[in-house]
Amino acid sequence: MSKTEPSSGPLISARGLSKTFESLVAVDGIDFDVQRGEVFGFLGPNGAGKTSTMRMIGCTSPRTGGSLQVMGMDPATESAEIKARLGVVPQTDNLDIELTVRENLEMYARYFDVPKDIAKQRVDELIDFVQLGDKAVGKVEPLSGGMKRRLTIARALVNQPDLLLLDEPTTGLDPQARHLVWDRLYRLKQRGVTLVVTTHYMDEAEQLCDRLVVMDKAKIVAEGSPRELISRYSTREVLELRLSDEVRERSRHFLDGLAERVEWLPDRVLLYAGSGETVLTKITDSGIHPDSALVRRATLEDVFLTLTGRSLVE
Amino acid sequence: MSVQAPAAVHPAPSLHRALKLVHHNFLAYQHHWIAFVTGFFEPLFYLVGVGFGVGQFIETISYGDMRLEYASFLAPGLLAAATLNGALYDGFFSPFFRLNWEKTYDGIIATPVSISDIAVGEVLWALIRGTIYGFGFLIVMLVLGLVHSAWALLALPAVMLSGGALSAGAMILTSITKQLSSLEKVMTLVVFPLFLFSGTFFPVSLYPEYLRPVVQATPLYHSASLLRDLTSGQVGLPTIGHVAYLGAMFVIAATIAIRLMRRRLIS
Amino acid sequence: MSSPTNIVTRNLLVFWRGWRSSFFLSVLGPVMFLSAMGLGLGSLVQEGRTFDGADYLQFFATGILAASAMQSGVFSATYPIMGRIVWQKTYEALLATPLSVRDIFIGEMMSIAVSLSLLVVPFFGVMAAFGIFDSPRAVLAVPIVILMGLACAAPVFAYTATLESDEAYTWLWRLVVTPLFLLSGTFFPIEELPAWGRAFAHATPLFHGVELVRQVTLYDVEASAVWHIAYLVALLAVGVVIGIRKLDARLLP
Repeated sequence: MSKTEPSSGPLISARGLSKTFESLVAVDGIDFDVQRGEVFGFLGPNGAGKTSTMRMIGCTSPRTGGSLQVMGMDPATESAEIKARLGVVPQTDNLDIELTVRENLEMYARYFDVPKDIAKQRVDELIDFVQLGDKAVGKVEPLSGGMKRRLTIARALVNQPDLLLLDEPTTGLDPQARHLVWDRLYRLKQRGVTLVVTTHYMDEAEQLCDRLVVMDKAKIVAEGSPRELISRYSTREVLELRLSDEVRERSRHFLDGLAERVEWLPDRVLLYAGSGETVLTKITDSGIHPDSALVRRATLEDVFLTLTGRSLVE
Repeated sequence: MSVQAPAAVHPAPSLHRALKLVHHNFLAYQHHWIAFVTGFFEPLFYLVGVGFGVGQFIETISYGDMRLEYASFLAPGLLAAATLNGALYDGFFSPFFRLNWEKTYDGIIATPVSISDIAVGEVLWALIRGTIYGFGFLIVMLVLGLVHSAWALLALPAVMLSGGALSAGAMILTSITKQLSSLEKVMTLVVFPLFLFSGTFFPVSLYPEYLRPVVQATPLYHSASLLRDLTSGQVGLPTIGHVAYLGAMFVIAATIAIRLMRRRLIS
Repeated sequence: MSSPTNIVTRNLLVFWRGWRSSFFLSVLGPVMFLSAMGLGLGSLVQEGRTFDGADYLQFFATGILAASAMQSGVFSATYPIMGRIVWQKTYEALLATPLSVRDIFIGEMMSIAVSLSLLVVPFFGVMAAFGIFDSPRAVLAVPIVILMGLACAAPVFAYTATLESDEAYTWLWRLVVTPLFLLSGTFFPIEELPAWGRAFAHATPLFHGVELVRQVTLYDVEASAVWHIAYLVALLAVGVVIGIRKLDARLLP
């Protein structure tokens, strides 16, 4: 069935990939590989170029430069073949409000030429998988945000894709809905589906991704597994202090010398060190009393801050 | 590292994929079949109200080498107008909302179905719905005694031809209209005049000399005249002209529509 | 300052922004229709046939004046109102102010009266310029059709307050408004209709509006005018009472 796809080798491969609109460079010559069976993430703030990259992989936006291979095929010339083996969960749901929940899935199965008898069974399984059984015969509009997202995920699985693209899958969902979605995605991974996820939530990236690239302003600034990135670009722990204005000024010089790296944010001071408690003790011993102090593990947010000087969520 | 990307190859539309859009519309209509059925009544009301009502005090109209009762003159015009209405709805309003508001098409093009397939499919659906209405209306005309020739057997293919041409034209409107506010402008400045100045309600000969060529350039005029020629039996050279116009319009409009729709959705 | 006028002010504000195109379009439509159909059909009318002394263009134009007001009134009570109840939830926000449901309803009706005037007055002006009217008494047609437009709007408003989606408007337009438009004496005198048709027309608002308009513009005002006006006023009153009740039930369940 597949033409040129190698049995080993990356599922997606990009070299010098770029996308330019009129005057704006959305993606600026990036390289990455996605291996079969992994959960690969694009982490970065809004406007970093993640969605543009996804659209190029998903064959809905032509690239302006570089090379891109998806499942061994070129999106420019073999888009229909790629789409047949792809599943896409877009950032904003584009479910059909003129049809019921079940009809949305059935229609999509038709668009993918899934044979009728198989389609019916598969639709039933998918409704089960995303736990929308009691909503199946109803219209789409009354569903909550989380349910719509689950339906979109179910729809993206109708053709049993080898590769699933998810653009900001849990943005706008409440915590419970988010966890349900992560749970479903994890099960998919266990079944061997390759997932490519974009997100600006560091907890999502840490929870889901085997490997990820950090994107900022159309370029890739780092890549690796979450753990590798944290150990490479950050210390193990972070001490967060809130100080009153004059204490801040007085202690600036002193604090700067205390840790590997110090970040002065408008409302907090972050001190990066192997042991946050140790640093905190030194501070209080020297007579400085912060309004509040918190010792926590370093996260991908800290990685991003180190790399770009800005936070993930503006 | 900055390799120039290969020029994108757009898959040509396929009937197989376009038909999926037809099925999609069919599924959606099952939820408002009332709208489907009532759409049939509007031209009937006009026929009764204007055709027979006003027809009471209107002279017979000279057409070709016969004189037509007003109702017989009006009916094929109304059929053409109804076809235009249907083409506008299925080729413009509905796709406009799906494209710009509901984003339904965004979901579909993530599958092997392309935007060209969508354009073709929507036009096909418009054609099918138009033909169904057309058939019903022709039966009513027959029953009311407004059909005067066996040429009327070709009226249904003529309805399909008009429907195809008008739907393709409507699809062009869809590809270029971006805002909801433009909808009102399109209705009043394009559609409404089309209805009024098309030889539907009264013959073109009533227009001053300088306006006649303008009317005769519009698609509804050709559609109405073609149907009128067939139902009254006044078939001749002009009839072939109408068929040619509509055929050419269909081909040209469909090509342009597909190209413009592609540009709209792929950025 | 009475509260309902706040609604009028709000609507005028919104209207003011888009007034140029909307004004042009909503008057241009009926004018085009009148010219094309009136003149076109008028020239096809049998030699010597008059309509109680008036020619077809006069007959038709006066009918269209009333019909346009009806369509405009009905439309104003459909999509815009539904938008404010369901889609934009404007009324929800308004009720958090000292405004009551009654204020909202009356305010909207006043707004509809304003928008009807903005349609009717220019249209009337165009018709007068065409020489449609014989006597200065014709000016009375303006308040008459505004009254009729409001009388049609109120019950539709009440209906809109009970709806969840705009699907119902499809059949409202096709099976109610369109037949009324065509069969209430606009295009042809209702004497042409069979007896049951005439009886039915007497029960509908557009017929009464059309009769009144013709009496003041083309013919003589008769005693029947009293009944026509009474019908319209009664319809308006009932529409307002039921409308407020329905809107209240909808917004404050």
